[in-house]
Amino acid sequence: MIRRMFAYPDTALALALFGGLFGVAAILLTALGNPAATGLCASCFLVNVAGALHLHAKASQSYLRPEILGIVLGAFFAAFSSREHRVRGFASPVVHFIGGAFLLLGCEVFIGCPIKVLLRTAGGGAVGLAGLAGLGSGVVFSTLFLRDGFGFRTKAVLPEAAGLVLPAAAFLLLLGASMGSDLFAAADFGGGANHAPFAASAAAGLFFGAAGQRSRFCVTGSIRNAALLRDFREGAGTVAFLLAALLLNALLGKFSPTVTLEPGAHTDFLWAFLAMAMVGFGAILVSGCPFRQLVLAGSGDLDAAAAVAGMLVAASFSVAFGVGSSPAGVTGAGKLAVLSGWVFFLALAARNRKGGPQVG
Amino acid sequence: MEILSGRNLTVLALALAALAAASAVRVAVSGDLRVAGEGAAGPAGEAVSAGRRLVLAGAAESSGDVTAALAHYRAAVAVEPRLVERGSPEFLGTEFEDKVNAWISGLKGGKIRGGPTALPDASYLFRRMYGGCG
Repeated sequence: MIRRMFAYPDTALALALFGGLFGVAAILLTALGNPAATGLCASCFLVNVAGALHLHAKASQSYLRPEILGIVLGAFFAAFSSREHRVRGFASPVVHFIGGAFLLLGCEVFIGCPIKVLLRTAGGGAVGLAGLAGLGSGVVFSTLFLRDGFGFRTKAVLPEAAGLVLPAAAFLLLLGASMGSDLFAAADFGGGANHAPFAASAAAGLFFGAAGQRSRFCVTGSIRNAALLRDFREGAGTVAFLLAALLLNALLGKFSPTVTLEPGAHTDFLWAFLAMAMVGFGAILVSGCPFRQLVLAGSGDLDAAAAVAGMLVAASFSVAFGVGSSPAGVTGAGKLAVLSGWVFFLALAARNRKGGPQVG
Repeated sequence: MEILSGRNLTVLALALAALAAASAVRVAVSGDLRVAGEGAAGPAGEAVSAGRRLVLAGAAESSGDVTAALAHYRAAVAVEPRLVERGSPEFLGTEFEDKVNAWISGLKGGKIRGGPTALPDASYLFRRMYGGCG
């Protein structure tokens, strides 16, 4: 029974267990050296990876985060061993590429992906809570369109080899990083320089990827299922993540309710809300938040791989054009990115519904 | 929610998209798209090196002007973020860390009198010093 619970977690209890483990692992990574409230953040880490691969030149945001590579590999291994590795795609690669890019830009304006929203909230940040409210609102709004028939064309089944490219690239990069290759840029100060030991990060990444593939852990997806289907099982995982992180933060003395003193954050509630609402809305339309896109990409979904590519390009764009927020506040370019993201996703939602033309 | 479906929902989505587009145009023409970022020019508006800012901050601090000192520290950090990076040789040190914390509690508790920018500047230094993935 216990084996089945881990191999095929589909009950609220099993999903809550996975969510709790995710939360504990994320807080431990922070304790081991990752930046504050950033034990796991798909968007921050993708910006770091983009820097390490010389896609942008901001030294402080460059580090080949083993967590990201581990997530892709872990998801691949889990999907492969459970015979769920099915290579499919070409339903909407361009939309996923652009959508993925806007998801990352929205996360950059808030300063964190949906998982970091939970971690920031669990640390006591009021702006994190505003982001969580925005994320939930965006997801609930998107369900109106799902109910009304939003969807893409059916994904095509593709050759198995196509699904091996991303996991192989992740493996080679992880191998290179483990050997201390100086091909990759690495920060000597700032967020990129703050990281847990390589082995711990890689192990955690593999766990996040494998457990994410088995449990379908997705913050936005869990809210969608609760709002759309009244199915609260995945929600149990998200709530367990939040509670585990909250409890562990309290035990470690890291819980500090604050409006203006949240480490690394800005204090703009409105834009935190709007940015994460856009991310929540868009993530549902393109089938997953940044973390879920990584897991899906590792599991053979090439549309998700297009979204990951879009996120990497957006990471370099974000740094080059000053989209990302900082403790000083939200930039004009950041506001423009959030509003543009809303235009894109709303136009997509208006167009791709039952009876209407399907953008692919 | 029947009313929010079909054609009504399409109209709502397009209206919101138009609103977002209009807001984006407003942001774009507002002149707020500078890449440089964090107000490195500092309180007097001119571009000054981080080292010079630290000297000015020290002088303001000595004369008891906490508001000006914090503004100069903030401007210095905007130019050189390593000043509040613990692992960096440029880190201003635990003495500065304690000072920022004391300023925040003093300004919040009313024990230190500062201008309207003092607490936001001190809070900025705190947020910079203790975290971030940037």
